[in-house]
Amino acid sequence: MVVKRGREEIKLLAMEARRELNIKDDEHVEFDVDLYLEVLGKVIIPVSELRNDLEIDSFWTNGFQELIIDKECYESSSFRSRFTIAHEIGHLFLHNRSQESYTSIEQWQDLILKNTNIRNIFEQEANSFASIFLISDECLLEELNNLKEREEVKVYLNNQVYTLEFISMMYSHVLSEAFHVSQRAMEIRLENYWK
Amino acid sequence: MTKERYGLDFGNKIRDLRLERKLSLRKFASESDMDSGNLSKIERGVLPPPSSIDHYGKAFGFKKGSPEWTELDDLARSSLAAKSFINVDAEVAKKLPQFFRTIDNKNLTSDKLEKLLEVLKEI
Repeated sequence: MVVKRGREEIKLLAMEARRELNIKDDEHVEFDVDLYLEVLGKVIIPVSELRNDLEIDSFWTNGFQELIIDKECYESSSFRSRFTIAHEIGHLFLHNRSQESYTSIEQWQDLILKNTNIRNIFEQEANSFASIFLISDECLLEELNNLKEREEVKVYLNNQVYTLEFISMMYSHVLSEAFHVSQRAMEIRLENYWK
Repeated sequence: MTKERYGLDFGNKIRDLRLERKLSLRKFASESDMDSGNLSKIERGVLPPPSSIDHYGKAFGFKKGSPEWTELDDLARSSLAAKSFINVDAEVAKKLPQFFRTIDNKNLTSDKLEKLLEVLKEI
């Protein structure tokens, strides 16, 4: 039975992964997240139309040695592609020991179609990992401090009309640009930060 | 089913050179106007090295005729000559994935899994 990891455990593991990749706790992750994987010796294989034909963004193969990724997503260097790669870094650090071996293609198909609950847990964990990996608490705090320096924000805070929590959500689009993630990903990270 | 593969010396060298320059596959492909999928295939020996290395030599800032240029050119020729054959079915068996990042976290259908197997054979 697979038990979903708690937020604190994922956070610890994401921060450990950052340190293993020589990213300081208060350092922003490089824009080219894929480079971290390549430096680890992992091979990136962009494949055309993976998303259009199969609705898949990415997956690991060959015992976590090769990362297959939708070529159009990868080349776009969009915020989504960064999150996708960070999500896969999550699988690498969280689930590399959970990878099962298969004796046949039929066994693999059977397992993939049946064990959807376990895989959904793993996908959620990888998303939580990616969120913290890309936006550490330390970096987020620094950006929140930068936000407080904006004149219009000072007015809000001085008048005690809004809390910093509320303002951070109001300015999630600004924060998302600072971290090169989508606004939705930023909002989810903020919600978890303020919990 | 078997497939032709080329020697990896040229591909490995390209990968080493770009990583020395801290360039990801995506960034190097983009900056040197190459297709990232084809570049990955060349690095893995799935596609043969190019008949002329001019494009790569320039991308790495090598002067034509310099020792670096000549080394790359020699590797391209030797990798092209060092062909081997791989068993595609055995390769696919090694590549069967367990986790997928899908659109909206949808689960895969059996039809999609069949299609995925075809994709894995081409990789």
